[in-house]
Amino acid sequence: MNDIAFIETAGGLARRAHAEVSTSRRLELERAFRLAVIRPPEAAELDVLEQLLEAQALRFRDTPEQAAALILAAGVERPTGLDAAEFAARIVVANVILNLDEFLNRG
Amino acid sequence: MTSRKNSDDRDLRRHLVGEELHATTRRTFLGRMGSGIGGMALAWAAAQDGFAGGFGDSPASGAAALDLSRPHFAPRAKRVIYLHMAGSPPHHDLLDPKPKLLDWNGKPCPEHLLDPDNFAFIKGHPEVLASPYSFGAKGQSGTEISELLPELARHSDRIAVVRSMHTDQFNHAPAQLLLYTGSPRLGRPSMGSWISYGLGSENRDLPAYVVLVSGGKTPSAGKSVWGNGFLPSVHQGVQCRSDGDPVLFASNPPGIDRETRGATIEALADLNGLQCERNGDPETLARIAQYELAFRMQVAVPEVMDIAHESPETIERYGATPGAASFANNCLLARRMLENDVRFIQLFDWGWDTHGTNPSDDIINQLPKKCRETDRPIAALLDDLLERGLLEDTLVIWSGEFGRTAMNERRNGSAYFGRDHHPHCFSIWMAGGGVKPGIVHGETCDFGAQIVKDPVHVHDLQATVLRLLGFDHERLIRRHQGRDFRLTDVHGKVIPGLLA
Repeated sequence: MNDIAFIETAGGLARRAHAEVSTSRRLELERAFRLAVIRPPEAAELDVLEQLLEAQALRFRDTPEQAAALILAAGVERPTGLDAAEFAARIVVANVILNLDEFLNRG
Repeated sequence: MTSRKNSDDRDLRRHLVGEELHATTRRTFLGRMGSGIGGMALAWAAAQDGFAGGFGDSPASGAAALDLSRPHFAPRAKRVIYLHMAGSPPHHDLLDPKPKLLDWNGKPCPEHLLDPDNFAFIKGHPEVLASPYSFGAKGQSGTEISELLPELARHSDRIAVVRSMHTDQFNHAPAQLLLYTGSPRLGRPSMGSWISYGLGSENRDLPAYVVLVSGGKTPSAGKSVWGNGFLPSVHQGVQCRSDGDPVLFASNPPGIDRETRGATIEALADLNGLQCERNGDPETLARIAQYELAFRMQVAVPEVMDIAHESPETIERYGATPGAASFANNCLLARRMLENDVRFIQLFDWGWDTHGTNPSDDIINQLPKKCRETDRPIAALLDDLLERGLLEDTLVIWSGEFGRTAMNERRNGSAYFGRDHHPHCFSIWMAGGGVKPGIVHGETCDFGAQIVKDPVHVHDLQATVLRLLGFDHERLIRRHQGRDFRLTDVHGKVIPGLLA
């Protein structure tokens, strides 16, 4: 989870999901989840991801230097039209998706 | 509001998942164990243990998982420090003096010692190699210990030397696997994992089973020697490093603070919990527990691993160097871990494979060097445990994975002195934790090549270690792929002569 390779991969996943579906946060998360585990998330799963995204976006808005540090560590370019706090929060959520037991063991 | 509702849901779900897996585990265990309060208790213990990390403050966690009245026998030891001299030290030069070898030194060995099937490197007809080191009878017990281990010799009345160990394997990796997992092949749980499985964890913030490695190389058998095999993965040994990050990737990456990490671990536990409801796989719960343990370890491990808190006298006594990766540091860390209720601490020190192919693996240069590196910290560890009143319920074991030949290996005509691998006998010592102090158990022939009295197979050692911890080795079992497995598999007997 803390291995930088997972952060970079999370950055890539967050960027790709946003590039493919940018109409809403929820659809974007659904896409990221599906790319990782090859099935759509259940509503309850999506709720957990969405809550995390909301909370983290707020947190990164208060700590822009943390958002910048995470994006830099992830080594990906921030998509245009997505502010740093939103993108950093998406990387955090993507990192969770990439640490799901289902992804690590049964992906 | 949503958040509170979700939080309630989460608690409820975890509770239900816990109950269900609990029940499943209990059924599996009872079905397997057949009967008996011991079996039920053990099943319960194991089920508890699997949940300890994952279910926070539920009654299944933490201290509740520990109840030493539950094992099969009254335990004499509560924890183990296993000091492994990887590569295998030569018993002729350290713990099993053979003065008669002097008469044979440099002469072709007697025919009966030729064992081409079990020589890893020796070719032709090798010559006998007497030990260049003297031995002295030490303490009240009169246990003879090599001049290379003067500090250990101070403790001769506290240790039990076993000169009649034997194994089936004469190469490092399979011999290490046999010693630690009961099988020379990969895939079985290691001794520390069985003990963690049987006794559970006493500390919520540290793993029950910690591994510390020195000598610049991991053991030949790799991480399988501290693997959990088919036991839940919470029981695997966790390797901590004494320089740099104590646990790899324990530090958060840039931009992730502890609060965010906490939030992600919680989200992950929720999602894995949902998955667990669908598939009912206890390994998913084990993963939740591991992430949560790792989160707590982020704080606890750097603290316990920081030996700079120790007094200069203590650091000096061990010969430790804060920040370095050394066996001395690992001995001091072992004591700190043990004080923090880590159950099984495994030290591996590479560099004992004294073949004599060059000065860095011979018995004239390398062996004294390794003895100097380890003798003082081991003796300091014993002193420290004794002073803190911990030795009586801490089992300390020192061993390699096999013995070495009475003959000089002389690989490719090497001019350096050394010994080849030898499975038929080797020496170890044990101390504390219910071990009879100040004794020598077993005896080998005049060449230190065959056992003549009281053989102890590695399975017998395992049975005895489990016994000291309160387990009947025939009843600490786990069903896997259609049959019951145990550390000693279908072998092993407790050695009463080693019990105090």
